[in-house]
Amino acid sequence: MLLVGIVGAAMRTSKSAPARGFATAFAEFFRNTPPLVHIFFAYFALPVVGIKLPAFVAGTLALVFYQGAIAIEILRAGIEAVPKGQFEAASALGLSGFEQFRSIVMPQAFRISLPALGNNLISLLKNTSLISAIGAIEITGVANDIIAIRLTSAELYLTIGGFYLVLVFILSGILRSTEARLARYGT
Amino acid sequence: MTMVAMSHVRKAFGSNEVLKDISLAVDPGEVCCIIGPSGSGKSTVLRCINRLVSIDGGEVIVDGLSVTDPKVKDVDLRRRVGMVFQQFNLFPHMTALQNVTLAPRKVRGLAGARAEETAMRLLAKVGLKEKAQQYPAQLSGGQQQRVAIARALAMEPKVMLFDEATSALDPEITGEVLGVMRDLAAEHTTMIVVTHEMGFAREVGTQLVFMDGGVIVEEGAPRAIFENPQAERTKAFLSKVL
Ligand SMILES: Nc1ncnc2c1ncn2[C@@H]1O[C@H](COP(=O)(O)OP(=O)(O)O)[C@@H](O)[C@H]1O
Ligand SMILES: [Mg+2]
Repeated sequence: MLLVGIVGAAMRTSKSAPARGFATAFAEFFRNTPPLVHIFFAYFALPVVGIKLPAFVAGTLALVFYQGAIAIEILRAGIEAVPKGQFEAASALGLSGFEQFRSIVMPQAFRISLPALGNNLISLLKNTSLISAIGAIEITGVANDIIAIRLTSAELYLTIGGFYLVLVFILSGILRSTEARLARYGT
Repeated sequence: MTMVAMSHVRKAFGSNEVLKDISLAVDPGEVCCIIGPSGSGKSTVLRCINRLVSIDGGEVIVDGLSVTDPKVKDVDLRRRVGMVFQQFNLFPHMTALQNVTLAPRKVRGLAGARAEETAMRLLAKVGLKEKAQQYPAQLSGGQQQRVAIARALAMEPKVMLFDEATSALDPEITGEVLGVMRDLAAEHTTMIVVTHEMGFAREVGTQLVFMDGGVIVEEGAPRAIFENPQAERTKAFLSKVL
């Protein structure tokens, strides 16, 4: 997801019009359509054109595209928030476009975008529950199997909610400490 | 040979003609100071020299390389030209030392240890050896600008450009930056300095250029111009700032 976001945001802000157009179209399309549709599409529609993916792979891929598209927009905003003077100073030092992106722009854009990226990561985690719709194994999917066997659904979905809560809680903790670590250098 | 030679340079941003026929020659070891009112095109003159802006007409030759020659790569020019900005533009996510070593490592291909050795020498030169591990946000404005000077010097440029290097600083700390610039001048560093510090221009400059409205109105020896300006516009400007 992050990789999609970084590459996409680089293209989205690049000088090349085709790259920009492609990344914009990609981001707008996936961001503005429901993730469940992507999952169904990847699992049920792609086989029609001969791409057969296992449920888990199809589901993960669809979610990575969806959350990646959101990450593109988050990082684009981050890149645009990097002051122009940073680009100028980096250019004046003779750094290549790629080196500017890697060493100067991305670390700052990433820091600016971190809270929003964190939320995106959490939403990715929660959206994994959607993959159960195509029968892949993840927490909700397992629960459905168990319900089919014997337990009451209320108990089970509460437990599942609990599992997700714990996972999100852990992830938030990691994100918060990363933000604090990056805040070290101020401004 | 002339280090920086501009001849008949023209530049417009849209319909705004910012430079109209600018010609200027700076020899090695010279300190050329450019003064003039805000908006007169001083920053644009500097930016033409390292291709931060492209020129519409005329010619700029830097150490024998033409900025309009497509065979001359950006990096070839920028290795020869160091630039210091009004707003410092240090990289906030890097320590002072990392700011200074970045370009030598990435552009000149120096090994880390070599780059750090040079960087520490330069930080010592600007009086900030003990601040090497600090981040820009932990430094005062004057200290940040001195790191920025060390960062530019680390590329071993042939000419240094200063764009109002002290304008963003409180008056009481401009001295520490001007001091570093004086030291560089004393070592015969070729410098082009856009400044509002008339004292610096008068005492350190070897050449003075007064710009207004995208043209060079008057140029010559600093003392001569300060004491006996010829053009009306120069007289009016100097009477306001002195
Ligand atoms: N990138 C740019 N795009 C459009 N106009 C610009 C740009 N840079 C400078 N200008 C304009 O060019 C003129 C001269 O600017 P500048 O060279 O910065 O003057 P100075 O440094 O003497 O104050 C100003 O009118 C400014 O608005
Ligand atoms: Mg200016």
